[in-house]
Amino acid sequence: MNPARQLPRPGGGTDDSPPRSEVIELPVDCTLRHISALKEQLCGVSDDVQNITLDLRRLERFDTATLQLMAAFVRDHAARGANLLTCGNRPSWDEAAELLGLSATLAGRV
Amino acid sequence: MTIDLTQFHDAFFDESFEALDSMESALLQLDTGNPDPELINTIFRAAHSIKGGSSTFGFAETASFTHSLETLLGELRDRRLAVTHTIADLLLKSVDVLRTMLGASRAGRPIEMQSVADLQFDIELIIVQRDTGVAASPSPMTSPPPARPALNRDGAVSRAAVKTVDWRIELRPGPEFFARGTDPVRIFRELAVLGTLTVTADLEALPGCRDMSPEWCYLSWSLRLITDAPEAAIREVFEWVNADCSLTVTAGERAPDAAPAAPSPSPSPSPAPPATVVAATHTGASQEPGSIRVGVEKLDELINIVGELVITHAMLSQISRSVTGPAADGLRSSMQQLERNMRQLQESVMRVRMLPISVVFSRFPRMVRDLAQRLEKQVELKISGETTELDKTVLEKIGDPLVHLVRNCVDHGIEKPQQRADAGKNAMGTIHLNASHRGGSIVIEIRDDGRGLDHERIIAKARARGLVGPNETLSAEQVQELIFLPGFSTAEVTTDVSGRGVGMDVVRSNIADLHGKIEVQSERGRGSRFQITLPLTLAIVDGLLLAVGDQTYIVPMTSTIESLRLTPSQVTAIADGRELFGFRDEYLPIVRLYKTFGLSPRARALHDGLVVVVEGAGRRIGLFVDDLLSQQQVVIKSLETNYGRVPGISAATILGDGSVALILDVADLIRMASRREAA
Repeated sequence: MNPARQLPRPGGGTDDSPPRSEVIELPVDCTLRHISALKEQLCGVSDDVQNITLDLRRLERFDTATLQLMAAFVRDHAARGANLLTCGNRPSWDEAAELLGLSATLAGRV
Repeated sequence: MTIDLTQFHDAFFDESFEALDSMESALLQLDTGNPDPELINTIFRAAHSIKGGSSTFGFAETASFTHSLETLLGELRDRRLAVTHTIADLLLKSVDVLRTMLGASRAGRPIEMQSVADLQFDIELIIVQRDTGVAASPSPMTSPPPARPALNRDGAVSRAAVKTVDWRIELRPGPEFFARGTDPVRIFRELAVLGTLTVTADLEALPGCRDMSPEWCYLSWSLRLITDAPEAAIREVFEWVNADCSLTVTAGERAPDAAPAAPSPSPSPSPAPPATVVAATHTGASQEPGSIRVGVEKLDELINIVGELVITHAMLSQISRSVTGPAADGLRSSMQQLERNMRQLQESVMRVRMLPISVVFSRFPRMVRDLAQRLEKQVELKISGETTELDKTVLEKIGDPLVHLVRNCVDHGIEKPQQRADAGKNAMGTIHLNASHRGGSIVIEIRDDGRGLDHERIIAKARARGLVGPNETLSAEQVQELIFLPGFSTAEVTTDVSGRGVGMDVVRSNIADLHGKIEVQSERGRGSRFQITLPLTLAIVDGLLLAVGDQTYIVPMTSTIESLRLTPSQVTAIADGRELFGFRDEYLPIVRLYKTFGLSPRARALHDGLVVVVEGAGRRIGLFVDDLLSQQQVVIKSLETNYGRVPGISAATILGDGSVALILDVADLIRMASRREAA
């Protein structure tokens, strides 16, 4: 499981108060049998990270358990005001989220 | 009233395993270029039947898996997908997975879900790829499948006959919903095919990310489905998840029709609820003429009673012979009639236990196909005589030896295509499996057109291991016999298929345990032929009655070669009082049965009695007895069940005069003689 990567700060500087950003790269297989590892990866994201990007580009396999976990993760961080973004593989992810009634939650709107 | 469904589990498992057998058999016959629609129907029906039963009896994982499988099969049946080698392989793997799942459920073991989930994913991927027209879609969720009349696959739903209804569905899964292999997104996707679906997730019970067990299901859903599909169609989508969740389906207001229903020229009847369909299938199966499922123990009991009747009849016959007077003729005539009826009854009852050998043969097409693929060989398996019947017990015990022999044919017998071409043979090797009745026995033949046994290598190996003297010459028959010695193998490379030097001795020993024998004939470069001769049944044996002192022993006819009276000049006495006699180019030890069993014989000198040459476990010995009495069929009674294990004795029987006779275990007697020799 890849740890969450911290995005380089613009300009590579060391500003004391920039919003922290992290990219969560979801692995190829996030289905039930790998769900604990995914949870571990998500729990590694600190509460002071302001911008969280879910990188779905490598993701090939996921199921409702994946989306449920992501919904909990997004809801937790959205509640403290973090920004949630996703990149890659949107159609399949969005279709599943829509079918499960989780689109708004996963978009950080709930 | 609550019905205890567990009482039907055995029947469900039996039927499911039979369905899997027919599924596998049909799959192996499937021509990927031009598949026979009837074969696909057979496979579909088998999967449907297993799905229905699994759902009814609460085997949710199996129901979920077969649901995906059935969907794929529906695509094939309706020609929306072509049967490719990949799909055929996937379906065969599904048969394996289902066997494992059902086996685990039957044994009450947990199912190893990883392989199930992997295969189920691959199945769904193929379906979605078909739906999206994408050759290599990254995920089954890439795109929702286009609307299709999913429930028309049974040809029972007519949308035109029903009105559009606004359905409300509440799905509240249990925590182990996911772990049981159920994925709501798949369910909802199927619902979406039926009409317009709106889903609202309830996240009330969902804890924070850090506090949750991600394998558990915390979500529940309220769904609204506007569809013209009947309630049964909606419930069918949920049929294999009902046990794991709370589900309510209620009809809301009748929605305005999206389009006026076109009059159907021949409205199809509404489908019965799935459980009813399954039940009807089962009922139909049980009502097939002449087909009824009966427990084996009931049959054994019946056979046992018939055996007792045979003995009682023999006793009465003996008594009737001494009856004199006016009633004697009538009595004897009636006894003859009774004897005829008894024989018919006995044969009929024995036939009940008979099963076609196809039960065992059916596993070989798949095995040969897979092995040949692995070993990069081309092998055609020809099967004949598969309707030949033999006793269920024999059938159960002959499976493993046959598997070993057929594996050996593929692994050692058949050459690689290039080697065959170099030898002027067809690149495709042939293995022929045949069964036939010969007299009171069944003969199974396994023949290949491979490289045959390499006598020189066998002899070299045997000399290296000290089994054959440096200057000892052996006949072709004797060389071939060497492969049945424990641990003997000439394979240069051991594989997980064969060649570990275990097997052929075990094969012979297993066959000997069934009172059968195995012979091999082989020609270098032309192939090998293994012939197994077995009794039709283990309940009755054709035996030769031998007199030793005041006792009667029975030796199975299948073990008997010849009987002869020896003259002193034919016998060679060697150290420790052991005796040998010449018989067909070999010296055989003499086993005096009166000594083995501690009896006082009528004949002590060899020329006063008889020597019966018997064969077992690949070796022969001469049994010295007082006399031969007769040859007859005897009913086998287990000695171990009623008394205990006796060395040299396999079972007992009751003779016509009511006396007990012991049936000799020839293989054990030979082992005992060998141990004495070694000592």
